[in-house]
Amino acid sequence: MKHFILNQVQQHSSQMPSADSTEKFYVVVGVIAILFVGIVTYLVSMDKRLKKLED
Amino acid sequence: MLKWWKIASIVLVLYTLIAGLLLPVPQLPILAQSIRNLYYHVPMWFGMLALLIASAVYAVKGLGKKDLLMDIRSESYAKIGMLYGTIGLLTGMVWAKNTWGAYWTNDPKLNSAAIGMLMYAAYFVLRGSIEDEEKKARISAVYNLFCLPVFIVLIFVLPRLTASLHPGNGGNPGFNSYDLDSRLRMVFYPAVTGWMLLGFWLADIQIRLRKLEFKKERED
Repeated sequence: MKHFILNQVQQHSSQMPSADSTEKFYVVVGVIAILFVGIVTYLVSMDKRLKKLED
Repeated sequence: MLKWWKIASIVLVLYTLIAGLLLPVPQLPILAQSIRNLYYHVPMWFGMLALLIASAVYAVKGLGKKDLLMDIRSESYAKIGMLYGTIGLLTGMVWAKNTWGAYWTNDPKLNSAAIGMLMYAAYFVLRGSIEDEEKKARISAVYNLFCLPVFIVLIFVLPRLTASLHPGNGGNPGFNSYDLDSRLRMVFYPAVTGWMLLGFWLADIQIRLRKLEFKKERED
C-alpha cells in the first residue's frame, strides 16, 4: 500500500513539468488573439479619426 | 464603414494567428514546430515586395503627372515596405539562431536582403537632402525605379545562383516542397494575403496623414 501511494506521488510529480505537453497552449493563442484585436481596434479608431479630419 | 479589404486583412491575419498556431504541421527535422514561422516571417517579405512595387508604380505615375500626391503615395509605400523588411530581417534572425545556430550567417540571401534595404535607406536619405518638393519628387522617383529591379535581382536572382542555407536558393529545396503539404497551404496563402493587406492599410494611414500634413504646410 505504501509503495502504491509513493508510486502515485512519483508519477504525479514526474508528470508536472512535462515540457512537450501542449496543455494550456490554447491560452497563449487566446492571448495573442486578444492582443491583435486590441491593436486592430486602435487601428480602426485611428482610421475613423483620420476620416473626420479629411472631411 | 471600413473598406472591404481592410476588414479582409483583419479576418485573415486573425485566422493566421489562431490557425497558424493550432493546426497541425508536418514534422520536419531541425525545423520542428518552428516551421510555423512560415506564416509570419515569410509573409513579411511578400508584403514588402508588394509595397515596394506599389511604391515604384506611384513613382512612375508621379513622373508622368507631376503630381505631388503621387510622391506622397510612393514614399509611404516604401516606408511601410521597409517596416515590413525590417520585421522580416529580425524575425528571420530569431529563426536562424534556432535552426542554423547563428543570428546572422554570411549567406547570400541574408546579405543581399541587407544590401537591398540599405539601398532603400539611401532613398530616404536622398529625400531628406532635397528642399524643393518638385525636385525631391522627381529625383527620388527616378532613384526608386533604379532600386526596385536591383532589389529583385539581389534577393530573388543572385542567391539562387550560389550555395545558400536559405530555403529556395542554390540547390536548397524551397518551401515549395513543403508547401505541397496542404496543411501548410491552408494557412500560408491566407497569411500572405492578410499580412499584405494589413501592410497596405498601414500605408493608407501613412498616406492620409502625409496628405493632411502637406495641406497644413501649404496653408501656413
